[in-house]
Amino acid sequence: MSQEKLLEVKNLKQHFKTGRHSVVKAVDGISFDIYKGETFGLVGESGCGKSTTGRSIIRLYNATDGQVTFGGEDVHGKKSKAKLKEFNQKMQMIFQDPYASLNPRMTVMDIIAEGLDIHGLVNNQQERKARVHDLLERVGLNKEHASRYPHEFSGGQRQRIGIARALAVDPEFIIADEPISALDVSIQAQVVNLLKDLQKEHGYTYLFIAHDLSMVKYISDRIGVMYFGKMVELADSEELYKNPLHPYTKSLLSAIPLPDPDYERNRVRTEYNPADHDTSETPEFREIRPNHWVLCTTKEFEAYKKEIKN
Amino acid sequence: MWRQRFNLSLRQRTFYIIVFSIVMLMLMIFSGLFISEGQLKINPGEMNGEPSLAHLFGTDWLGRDMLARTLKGLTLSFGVGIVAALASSVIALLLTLFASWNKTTDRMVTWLVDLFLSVPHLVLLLLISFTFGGGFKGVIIGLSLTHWPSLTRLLRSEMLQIKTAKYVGVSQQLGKSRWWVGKHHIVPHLLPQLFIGFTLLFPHAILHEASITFLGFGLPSEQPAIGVILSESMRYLSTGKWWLAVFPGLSLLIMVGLFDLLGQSLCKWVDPFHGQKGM
Repeated sequence: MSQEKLLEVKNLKQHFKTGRHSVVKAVDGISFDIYKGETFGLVGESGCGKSTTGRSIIRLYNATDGQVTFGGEDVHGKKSKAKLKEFNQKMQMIFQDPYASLNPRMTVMDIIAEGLDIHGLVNNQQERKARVHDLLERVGLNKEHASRYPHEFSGGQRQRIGIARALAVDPEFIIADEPISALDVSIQAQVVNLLKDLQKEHGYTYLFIAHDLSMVKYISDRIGVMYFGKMVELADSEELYKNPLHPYTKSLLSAIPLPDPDYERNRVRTEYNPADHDTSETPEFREIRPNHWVLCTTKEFEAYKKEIKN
Repeated sequence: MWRQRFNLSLRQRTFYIIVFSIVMLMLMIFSGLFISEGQLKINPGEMNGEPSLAHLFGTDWLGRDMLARTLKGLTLSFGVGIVAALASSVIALLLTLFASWNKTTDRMVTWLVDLFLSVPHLVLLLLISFTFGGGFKGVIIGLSLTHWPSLTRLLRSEMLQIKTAKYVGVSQQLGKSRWWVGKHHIVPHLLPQLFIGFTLLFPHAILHEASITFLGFGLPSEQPAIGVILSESMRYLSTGKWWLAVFPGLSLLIMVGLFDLLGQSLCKWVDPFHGQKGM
């Protein structure tokens, strides 16, 4: 894996006003880097700010604070029209719900070609058609599907259409916002494998947001664990599964079911109690081992270091 | 049975229903247009005649043929209804698109809707049509300017829902203009509501036209609008001359029904899901 940083997120904050005096801190100061060609998994419970992070990165929301740099350029800064267009092309998103993300009144052809027209990637109708057919075949559909409407497809097929739309503009970086959560289990593997194959062929970089831990482990190179708008642990996926340090990560991992009855009978779920933390100081994000970061205080930092040595 | 004999797909059937209702409506309107003044003139020899072969709808207290009067009235009412409903729908659509622009415009539109709904409909209608000089012109302007609020409300709520849809977000992220989003995402979803709104406004407008005519602020009484015919026939109903009200009323009902059928079929026609359901 090359170590060229494609995306840098620094102290990203996304707060939403919900009333005159109440603010929801959906994302509260998270930092991470994504390297070129890798898959970065983002996990956490519902409402912990995973999706919001993704949307802030792609500018569906305007970030409250913090910096996002993509390929050396500030994402949220003011940009010229041409720059904005270029940026829009390089970063794409795949959505969770394949039923809500496709306009039911547009044909598949028009849905996929939406991005082609605006970025001037095709010159005439014929090229446009050929391109859409090519994309459909790339995601495992066939070209007869181009003239149909979204309601004629199953959830998995719709998600493939969503993927084809994202791929249409030749992006470098794709944010997959729980692309498999709404799908049948048998289809999930298909879609994840499709994403993996496409990555191998074209070298895309993914930010993969999900709450299915086994799936995330399967697809990701590195994983970040989020809890209440904060990143609590970040490590290579093997490392994270072998040596989880933060109690929340441990609790999450203890919840993964395995198709092994003996193991399941004896599996003990670790409960996570936020009150168990050392509260003498504000926790910081520290590197316990190369590339293994945990949100902890100084005292905890020492304890984790000891723990990982044993 | 019927389906098997003709073996039509749902889309074809919808198409034939559309053609049928258009043809029927056209027949009604054109037969009204070709009725000359001569057929409407007073004929003292045949006063208060019951329906017969010579006068299918009977004659009124001045001996005028009710069939001719009804057809003429339907044409006039149809014109009033269409123009008023069309204008109201267009106003509603434009205001909805305007409201979709940002929060301020949305508030303005909501305020305007509330303002118009807070004044009694009929009073507003009377005031506007009176201000514009009454008569045909006044009635049309009055009807057009007072029927849009409820439809605007409906369209606006629909629009708000579409605006938060994921595919709109995708388009924005791709860098599509507001115009493009409006044309490809919002308007196609508003069309069915607009069609239904239009067909519902149509009879509403006709009935309102009839009611202000009845109150004496609407069309002049020599113009045989359905409203005028119905209000005049009131006096004769109690003396057993049922045909004076029944036939014009029934014709109006049929016309509104046909119009409703047309609207619903058109609505199905543009919906991809319905169109491809097969049988």
